[in-house]
Amino acid sequence: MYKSLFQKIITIPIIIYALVLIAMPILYVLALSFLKSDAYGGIINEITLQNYIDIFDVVYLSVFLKSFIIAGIATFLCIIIAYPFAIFVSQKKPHIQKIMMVLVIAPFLTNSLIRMYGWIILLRKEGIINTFLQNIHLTDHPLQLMYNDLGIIIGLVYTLLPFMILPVYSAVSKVDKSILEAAKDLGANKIKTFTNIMLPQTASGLFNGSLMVFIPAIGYFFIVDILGGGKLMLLGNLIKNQFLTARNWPFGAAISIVLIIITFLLVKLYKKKGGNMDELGGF
Amino acid sequence: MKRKIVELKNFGKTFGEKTVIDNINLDVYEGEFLTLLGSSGCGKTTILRSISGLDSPSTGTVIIDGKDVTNLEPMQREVNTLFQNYALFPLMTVEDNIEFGLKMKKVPKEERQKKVKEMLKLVNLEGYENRKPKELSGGEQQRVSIARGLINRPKVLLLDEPLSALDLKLRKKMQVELKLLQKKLGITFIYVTHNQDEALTMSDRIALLHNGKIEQIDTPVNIYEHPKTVYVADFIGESNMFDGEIIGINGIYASVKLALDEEENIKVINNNFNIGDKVKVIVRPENFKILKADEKTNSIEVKIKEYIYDGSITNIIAKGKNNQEIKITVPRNKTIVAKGTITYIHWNINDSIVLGETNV
Repeated sequence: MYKSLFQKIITIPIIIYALVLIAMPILYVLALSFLKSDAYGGIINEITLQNYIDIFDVVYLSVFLKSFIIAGIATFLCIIIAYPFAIFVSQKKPHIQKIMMVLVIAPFLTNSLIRMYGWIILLRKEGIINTFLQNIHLTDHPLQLMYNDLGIIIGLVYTLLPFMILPVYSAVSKVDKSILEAAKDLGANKIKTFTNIMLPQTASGLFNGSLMVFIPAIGYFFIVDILGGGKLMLLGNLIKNQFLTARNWPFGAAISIVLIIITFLLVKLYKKKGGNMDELGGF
Repeated sequence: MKRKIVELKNFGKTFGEKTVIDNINLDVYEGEFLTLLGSSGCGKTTILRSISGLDSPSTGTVIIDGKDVTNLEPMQREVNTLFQNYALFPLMTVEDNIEFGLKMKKVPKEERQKKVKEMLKLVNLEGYENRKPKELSGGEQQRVSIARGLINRPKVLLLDEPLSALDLKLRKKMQVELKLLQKKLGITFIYVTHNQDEALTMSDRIALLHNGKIEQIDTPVNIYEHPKTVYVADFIGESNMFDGEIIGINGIYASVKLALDEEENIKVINNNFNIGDKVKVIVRPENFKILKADEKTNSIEVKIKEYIYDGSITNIIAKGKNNQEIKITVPRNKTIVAKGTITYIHWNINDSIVLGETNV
């Protein structure tokens, strides 16, 4: 009895936290999305579906499409980099593995905004990378590495790579070595061992990682602002602009709700395909 | 002369500074059941992995069916392995698991299905085709791994402690089944275990490994009844070991004075001994006979300490004159003499094993 009472008491702060800081703001955004705005950034208490209808404008739909394409490319690149890296790490001795995974997480110790400004030093026309490429005469004029889609993708991949590495590494290191040996023993070469055994066994880690990269990649407005040079509009900064620049809160709220629904559907689809959400903490 | 199917020549394996296998030679004959027996860490699994190709030897060559395969990949060798933890593919059904080897060999689908059916019948798993490994019991998983390992009809099947995860009863049953299966199919089995009962029950020959060397390779009967070294005598079965000294030679027999009680009435088979040689006289517990009175030869005085009833046999702990513990086994619950009594135990000359210093 005492224990269960104690358990209830210690969960109260968490419940309050979830209600006040997660559930209520989302409900507020939901309510906001059905209201009208006036020309001066105010909110009129009048229920309407107009905000949702406005989203189906070609301008906004193309922002959705472009955001998904960019997020998709970033996710794909993260897989390409993270998977071989995870296999490489999992073959090292346990204490080396630990050190390497700590190094993967280490960049989080620095504010990601500051790290984005760091990339400007690397990527701009007179930056380190361009100077280097010109010095070794690989190119005679500076390459446009930022203020375009490429810059945004570099920023997204760099920032989100750890979120791919962690679940993929976790999945890869769980694969029993003797199972791979059994496949070899039964006549499978390296490629067949990978496609028949390794890939199916680590698919859930790949899906987990993809969700954890794809979803934030849609919403990371500051990367788009900094490395896109403010010339490009993706979903994240579209929402930010509606709230802060255009001061049309209800419309920004409507886009946010659509984004939440899409995210939710992606997770549902993933679960339906037999995905395992344990590593993401569930629902 | 039987045909050699696997040959290890000057085979050695080192991990860093540590020598695990030290320059051994081993011939395995076609159709035999050979067991590599040894305590954990003696390198028996290393030998197995070098035959399968999952590891490569540091020195020497591995020959399978007359062909040097030392530098070949596992997929190029006609051997298959049964792993200790079965290593079934967890996401595949029983059928897909068994079929895997044929698929890799690009065998046509119809033939594959036919062979899978045969295998399922062979291991008594008909009707289990669509189950996943985790829906099977340990014994059933074991059968799947046997079927998977045999479907390619390997020249040699390598078994790495395949029964160690099963409970005692199931293990005994699988021992018999494996042995029957091996005889039925005529495939050479190389079996790794640390369990001497398993080795004695199943093998045609046992190679006992110790410190990276083959201590003795022989039939189970010879390994048990005529161990060549003290280590073998001690490792296989229970044994009582008495230190002694040769005090007389009489044709095919020799007389020994045991350190145990300074008695001079012990006779052993003369193994080219000289007077004064230090020897060890080894007697298995079941070869003792408890006597009411002293006998002239091959008997020693003991004090009965404890009876331990074990169903079909009773184990007796006794102590010699110098307090050395002596293990005696008698059939069923035969408490001939009361605890604490001093009595005599006797054995036949031919039932003792005598090893000179060179065999230590």
